[in-house]
This record gives sequence, C-alpha cells and structure tokens, in this order.
Amino acid sequence: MDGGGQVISRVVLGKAANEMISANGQWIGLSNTGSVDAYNSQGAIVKTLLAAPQALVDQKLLLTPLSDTHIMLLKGRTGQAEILDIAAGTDKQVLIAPDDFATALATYSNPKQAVIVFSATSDKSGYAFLSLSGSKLTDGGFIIKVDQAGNVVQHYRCVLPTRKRYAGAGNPEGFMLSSLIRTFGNQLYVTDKQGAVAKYLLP
Amino acid sequence: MRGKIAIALALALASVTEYPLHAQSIKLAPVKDFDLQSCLPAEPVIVSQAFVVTAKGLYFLVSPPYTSAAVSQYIVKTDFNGACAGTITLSEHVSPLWLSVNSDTFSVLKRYSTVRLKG
Repeated sequence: MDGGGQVISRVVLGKAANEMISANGQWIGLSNTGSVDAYNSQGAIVKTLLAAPQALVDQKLLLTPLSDTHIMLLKGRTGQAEILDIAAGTDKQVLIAPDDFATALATYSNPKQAVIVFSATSDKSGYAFLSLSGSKLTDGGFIIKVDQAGNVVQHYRCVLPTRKRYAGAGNPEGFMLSSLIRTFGNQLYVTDKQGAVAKYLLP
Repeated sequence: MRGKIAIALALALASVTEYPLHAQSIKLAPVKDFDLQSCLPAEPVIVSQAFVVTAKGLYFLVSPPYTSAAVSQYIVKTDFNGACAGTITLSEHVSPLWLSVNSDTFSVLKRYSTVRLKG
C-alpha cells in the first residue's frame, strides 16, 4: 500500500509463515509447522534451513536475526535455541541461560502453559536480548542479554511506567505489561499490547 | 474491554510466584514513555503486537483485538521520543504479528502471502 493505503505488490509464499525476517537480502520465514525456510523475492522456497517437525515444537518459537548471516530460532520455554548460519546452511544448538529459564519456569504452577520469553531481539553486535516472564511487576521487566553461545552477559531490570487504565486486582499500581522489546544502538524500547511504550538507554 | 484485558493480564502475571532478583542486574529507569493512542483515531482499542525500530523512527502495526471488515488496522510511525510522525490506515486485514520496514516500503503478512506496502 502507498501512503493512501493501497497495496502496490503481492508475493505469494511457498509456505504459510507465522513470522518473517530479512537477513542477508533473503526472506527467512518461520512456517506454521515450525520449519525455517528461505524465500526468494517471488516467494518461492529456495532453501529449508531447519526442517519441521522440531523437538518441543509445542511451545512458542521466536525467530530473530543476529547478524546478516546468522539468525536465532528460540524455543521459548526451555531456552533451547538453534543458531542458523544462512550462508553456510548450518545450524548449531545452544542452551540459553538455563538457570534463568529454569527459575522462571518453576514459578508457574502449570509448566505446560508457561510462556517464558515474551519477546526477543538483537543488537548490531550480534547479542540477543530476551524479555523473560516470571518476575513481579514491581521489580520491573526482566531482560537478559546473551551471546551467540548462549551465555548471559547482562541482566537488566527495566522499571515499568504506570498507567491508571491498567490498575486493578494484581496490579494496583497500574504498571504497563511488557510485551515486545527492540533495540536501536544503545536505545532499548519496551512496549505493551495496548500502545504504551517505554524507552531506556543501555549503559 | 481495555480494562478487562489489563486485569486479565495482571491476574495472569500475579499468579506466578516471585522471581528471585539477580544481584548483578542493572536497573534501568525509562528516559521516556508514551502512548500510541494519541496518534490514532479515537475509536480503536489498540493492540500492538509488532513493531520495528529503524534510523527513521519507530513503526507500530496496530490492530484491534478482534479483526473484522468493520475495523481498521494502522501503521503508526513515531520519532524516538514518541511524537507522532504519521499514521496509515491499511486497506485490508493483515496478520497482526509481523511488520517489516525497508526504506519507504512496508511488508506485512497475509495468511498465506506477504504483501509489500509503500509508505
């Protein structure tokens, strides 16, 4: 669509995708069956980087680019992740922050319903940032920064702004409920689903 | 509706036990916070599940909680401090979960296809 909202072109994908990223000039899609596929500009699949079904595919999967050549497929309940090298067509399994994941998972009475990772993103240096659940709103949003080997290099606690409209049982202060995170340079943005946005500066 | 969503999410979060604080955590205070509502027409109960940050600013795909032909989706652009820099009403419904911004074009997902948009 142009500025008036009109579609200017359509690309039919070879496989239905839940999520797409652009890396190294290619479209990379996470299909609704859990496979990770590279598409050309006409929407045809040119390479399947990771076949479906994957182990533990019953949990939330997140796809995030780490660099022009590497992407991360994160299995959101356990911290297991695949680092995919788009150029080489290889993948490496890593376990991200097992202690943090285990601790967060233990806070849920029904682990099968746990959503440990709210959102994932990365910075220009190839570090991944994960927003994790399981913390009290009064303690802030919990975000970890990890390297491509899965090691935690920093923990962050983001003080959450409040809104009167969010106040209620379980959240009397009305803290925003963090949903998505993105970085840009040293800026870190946290949003919720209802349009509140908080900006932080990474040290 | 908005209040019910907030209460339901708060209750869900409150149902978990306390996560132990890391002694080495860096505490970050927001340097700015803002709301997208001011960039939108008055009627939508907004749900933003996709956003992108580029050198030009922040782009949000805003969808109502229940999509139908009667409700609109929007792409909202703000500067880095939340000042509204443009709002586009989408002419057809797209997946609320994904948005890509490349120069002055947007890409969004239909159920079975990707649609490239020019902003």
